[in-house]
This record gives sequence, structure tokens and C-alpha cells, in this order.
Amino acid sequence: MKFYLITGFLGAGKTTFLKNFIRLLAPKRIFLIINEFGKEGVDGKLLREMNSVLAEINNGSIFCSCRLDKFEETLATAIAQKPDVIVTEASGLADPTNISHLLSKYSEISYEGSICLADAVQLPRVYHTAVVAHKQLAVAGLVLLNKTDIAKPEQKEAARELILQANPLAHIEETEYGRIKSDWLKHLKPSSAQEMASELRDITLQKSTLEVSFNMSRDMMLHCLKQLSESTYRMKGFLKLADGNFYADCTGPDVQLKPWQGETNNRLVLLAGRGMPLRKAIKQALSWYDKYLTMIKEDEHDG
Amino acid sequence: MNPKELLFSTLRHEVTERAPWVPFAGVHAGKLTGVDATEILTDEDKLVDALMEVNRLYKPDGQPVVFDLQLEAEILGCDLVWSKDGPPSVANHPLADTMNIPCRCTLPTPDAGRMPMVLSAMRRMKAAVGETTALYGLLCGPFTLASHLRGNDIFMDMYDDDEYVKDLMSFCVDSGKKMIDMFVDAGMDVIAIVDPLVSQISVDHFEEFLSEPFAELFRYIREEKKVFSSFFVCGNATRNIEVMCKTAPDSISVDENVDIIAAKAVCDQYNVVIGGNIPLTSVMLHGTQQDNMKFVVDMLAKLDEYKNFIVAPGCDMPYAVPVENTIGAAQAVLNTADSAEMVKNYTSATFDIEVELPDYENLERPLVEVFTLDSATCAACTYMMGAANVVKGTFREKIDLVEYKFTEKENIARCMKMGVTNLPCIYINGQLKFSSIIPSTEELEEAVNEVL
Repeated sequence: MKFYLITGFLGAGKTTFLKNFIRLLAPKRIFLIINEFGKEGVDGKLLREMNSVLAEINNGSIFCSCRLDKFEETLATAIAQKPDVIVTEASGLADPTNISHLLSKYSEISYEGSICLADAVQLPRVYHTAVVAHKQLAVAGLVLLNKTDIAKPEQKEAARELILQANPLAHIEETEYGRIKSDWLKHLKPSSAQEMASELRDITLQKSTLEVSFNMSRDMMLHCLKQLSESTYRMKGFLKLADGNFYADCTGPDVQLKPWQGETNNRLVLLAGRGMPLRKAIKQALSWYDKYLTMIKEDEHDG
Repeated sequence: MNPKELLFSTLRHEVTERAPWVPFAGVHAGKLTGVDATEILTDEDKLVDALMEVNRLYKPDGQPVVFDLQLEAEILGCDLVWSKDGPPSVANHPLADTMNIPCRCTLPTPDAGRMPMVLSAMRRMKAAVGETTALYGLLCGPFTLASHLRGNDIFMDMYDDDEYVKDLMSFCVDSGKKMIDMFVDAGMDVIAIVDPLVSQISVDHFEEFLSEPFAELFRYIREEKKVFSSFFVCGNATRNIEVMCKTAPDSISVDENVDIIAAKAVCDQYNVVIGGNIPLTSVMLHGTQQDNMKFVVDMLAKLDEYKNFIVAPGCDMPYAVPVENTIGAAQAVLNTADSAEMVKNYTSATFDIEVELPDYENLERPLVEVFTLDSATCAACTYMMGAANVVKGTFREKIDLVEYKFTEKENIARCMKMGVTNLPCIYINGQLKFSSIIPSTEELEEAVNEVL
């Protein structure tokens, strides 16, 4: 069964979009998981007409990314009902970073990717205040720039710029009233930025390399990568650590540290784009892990 | 040194003989007495009963009385949606459509909302365990409270009306002070300001909007109320640890998203205690008792000395955490060296030790077997063994009673052979009868009578 993740900050038009999206997916059987108390929800009538099911997660710890168990419980219920499609609407404050890991446990599920709704007028405001807005864009395959009917051209341009800053390979479609066309879905990918390193070469590309000590533990490295991931769009390295060899493979906030059989050189390469505070992030990482990390070179104009 | 004094000693930044232990059993307390989350947060007697059971089984040095960040929001006009296995959620935001600063006359008072129930429970806990256990009064942090009132629009306001956000924060700080007054008056030893939303904003925004309000609240707790303070966050607050320290709480508490050992180095520079961070879902909820012991043992092994460090769950424990998992974590904090040995034996022993199980089908008389971590040191095990001893006293030679301590390798092998996974527990004639939750004398007698 297919799985779509819908993100977007409050007021970006997720609920209106969902109504359109459900109609687009019809006549498939949909299981919709909603993770937020909306002002105006998707009504049961529409879902019944579409032969679909709605589950709301009443989550007192909605801010807490360590309480994924509630979501997993609901997901298990959804899978048991064997729908054709599972659509999950994440709270405006939900961190979507780990979704692909989480879903990889379920062989029945095919993760199609994440659609992020961005309000053409409001985006700059939330982008600069809520750190999760950046993460939602970074893991999105398709970004719908919504409410373009009320946005001025310069507002649309500013919003586009921010989206590309968070996710240089995002596919952006402009829309109004949360409308979606079926052929836009072909741009969805589970992770949008795997080829980022080779495709992105402009003068704003920031590149740095850190040398990692053999004494660093896997746990420590994982935390360190998470810390750096907020300010990079790509990190890669083959690392020999205190408890084994690992391949660090991170795309935006999606951090992976997998066991590795091949050669290692203990160099972690970090790439960031315009507006990303890479220097600051590296400085913080160096102060937290001063015994384990050394800066090798910093080249802001890597060709 | 009694448990409360040990925690105080840590909060005064002194070196202690072991690390203090503060299990955040909020709604989870209800699991110990069989009542749901809503009952725990609305019924004083049920709350106090459950908290007493937390105190008895988990042997905390410090424990929260109520863990509900919606308490103030409810008083200030938010509707709540209740849940049986978690704290309630805020369903609407009274200031969503009006950029208003509410009148100070609406601030929490001792007779508002659920305050009478909460304050009375605090006083009863203080009288019952206050001599030996430090009690935590938890209030909703000003930023999370502001977002309860205003909704997510608060993030837009930060961008285009910073004065409004500052005014609203100031209102929420005043609400915090009212809560602090009431909590300290009810005997709370440590005031924790719990603000999960802190992990959602950047360092710059923290400094612009939160540094002053938090510094003011911690100053108030320290200078005017003269009790200890803590700053709880959850989520990935790594970037904000340093600015949190600068607001000068006595301690901070973080969840598994933060590398607690690396964060401790930052906190040490500011002489702030750090607490945490047993993972709530992967270890506490879904892990085994061994996983919990191992996590704590491994974490403590990374410390040079027991100073400026508190062992705690990452945040409010999920309702359904298996009781034996918390017992395991408690044992690992309270008897770290023994626990380290048990974990080592469990993971490394080859178990070539031959263990012969009794012939359960053909016993001469009923056999009560008590499996414990160690009834001498683990509180829950002491009570489990105590219950069995009372029943043995009643039935005398009509039954056999034996204790198997997990400290012995042979007993680990026995546990594995019998499939015992949760300690403490009682088997009667080879059948599991009681696991983790201590039976009353009547219940245990009844179970014995069934096989007599």
C-alpha cells in the first residue's frame, strides 16, 4: 500500500488540500491519519463517500518527537485494514525527519514521499521562527506553493528562494485553494536530494570536511550528525568508530549511520547551501566534541 | 544521607556517592494502581494512591506530583480533550483570533480549575513522603503556555509583532509566578518549568523572546522562594542547551534527542545540573528490563564522578511503560555496581551452568518461587519477597518458598530456562502468577489456596 506524508505549517492549507487529494486518489480506499486538532477538519461525510477511514491521534505530547509510539499504534491499525493508500497529515510542529526510517520497518508500505504545503505569503515568517518549517521542506519531494492568488510576485519569489534554500532539489508547483494535479505526483520521491552533491555546484555551495577520531562512539557520532544536520543538506563519510565501521549518509535532517564493510577514511564531508549557518554549526560541534573532531579544510567556493 | 538530601546535594553541585533518580511517572503512575490517565489527573484520591505506589516501587529520590502541561491552559480558557493513556490535549486557543493580552485577573488562583485537587494532593504527598522524597511541582513553561493560548500563530507573531509576543510572554511569566507561589506553599521542593516548545526555535529567537522570561522565573524561584529549580525541554534542544544554562536554573532535563554526556560538558561550564535521558519509547516502553538496566549502567559509566547529574526518563513516561522496566532502571541507579554485574552476566554468560527445574507436576506441596533482582536492595523485590514471607508464615510447612536472586549466575540460567523475563515475579507450581505488581496478602493466599 502506498503511503503519503502531508506536512506544512499552520494555515498553509493542509486541510483544504487533503479534501482535494482524497478526491484525486478516489476510488482507491484511503486511510487518513490526522495528527492535529484542526479548526475545521476533513469531514466524515466526504470520507464515507470515498469509502475511506479517518483516525485522529489525540496526542498530548504532540511536540515530542520521542513519542512516536502513538503514531505507530495507529499505523498498525491502518495496515491491518489493508487500504490502498495511507495518507498522514502531520502536525504543523511535527518533525518529519525520521519518517522513512520508521516506515522501512513495514514491508507492506511503499513510501511515496512527502508533500509540503507552503503558504506563499506566510512562509518567510514561519521559516524564520519555527525550525521545523525548514525540516518539513527539506524532506519534501513536492512542495505546493499555495495561496498564490493572494500573493504578490515578490512574495512568491521570496518563498521560492526559501524553499530552495532548505531543499535545492525540491520540485515546486504553484497552486491556489490547495488544488493538486495528478501528474505532479510523478515528482515525488521518498527523499528528494540523494544526488544533491553532484548536481549542486554554484558559488554559494559551502563545503567542509571534518576528521573523525577512531575513539568516537556510534552513539556520539549519531548525535553529532543530528546536530549538524540542521545546517547542512548533505553529509557523507566512511568512518571507523570505536564500535565498528559505519557509513554516514545524511540528506538534510534525514540522518543515517549504517554498518559498513568497505574501506574507511574517517572524513566527514559536509555540504550546505546559501543561508545555511554551516560555520556556526561546525563551531558548535567542535566545541561539543572537541576530543573527536578536527577541521580539515573549509572551501566555500568548491567547484 | 536520605534520598531527598542526596538529590539536594546534587542540586547544590556537590559530589555524591551515587547519582540521584527522578522517575517522571506522570500519567504512568496510574498504571501501577489500575486507573487511567484521566482519573489520575482529575481524582485526588486516585492520584495520591498512585503516587504512593510510585514512591514504594520505584524508590525515587525525587518525584513529580502532577505532570500536566494543560493545567494552566484549562484555567485560562482552553478546552481540553481527554485521553485514557496520556495527558489531555488543548483543543482550541482562546487568543487565536484576537491579539489580546488577557487581564491579570484571570491568572491561576488556588480555587481555579483543578488547582484545589492538585494542591491538596501535593500537601498529602508532602505529609506522607516529604521527609525522604523531594517533590517536584511542574508548571507549563511560558512559551508553551503562550502557544496554548495563541495557537501556532505565535510563530508568525514572533516575525511580525515581537512586542505582542513579549507582552504575552510577560503574562505567561506572571501565570508561572502564581503557580510557583501555590506550589511552594503546598510544600514542593523543586519547581520545574516544562517548556517542550523550546526545541522548536532557534538560538536567536530564544535569546530574543525567552532568555529574559526564563531568567526572571528562575531568579524568582531562587531568590524569593528559596527552593530549587529545573528547566525541562523535550525534542532536539541541542542548539539551545547553552542559552538555557544562561537563564540560570539549578538543573535542566533533556530527552534522548540530546547527547547527554556532551551536553553535560556544556552544563558543567555553567555549573548547571543535567538530568535525563532514558529513551521513552525504544527503551522504556518497548525495551526489556535488561535493556533499561543496561542503558542506565552504560550512561553512568560515562561519568567521571557523580556530580551535576540526575538519572531520569527523557520526559513524562508513557502510560503503558512496563512496571518491571522502571524497576530495572531504578535498580541500576540505586545499585549501579551490582546491576552492571547482572547486565554483564546476562549478556556475556554462556549459561553452560546446568540448572535442574523442579518436577512441577509431582510436587509434594505447593512451591512458591520468587524471582528478584535482589530482595535486599531492590524495593519492589523487597515487597514481593515480603508478601511471600507473610503467606509462608500463614501456611507454614504446607508450602515451600524459595527466592532466586538475579545476582547469581545460576539463577540467571534458571530464569532463562523457565522463560522468566520480568523481575520481580512470583511463580506458583511453575506457573507465573504475579509479575512486577506486588500482590496483597489476600491475593497471594488465594493463589496458594487454589493449588493446595
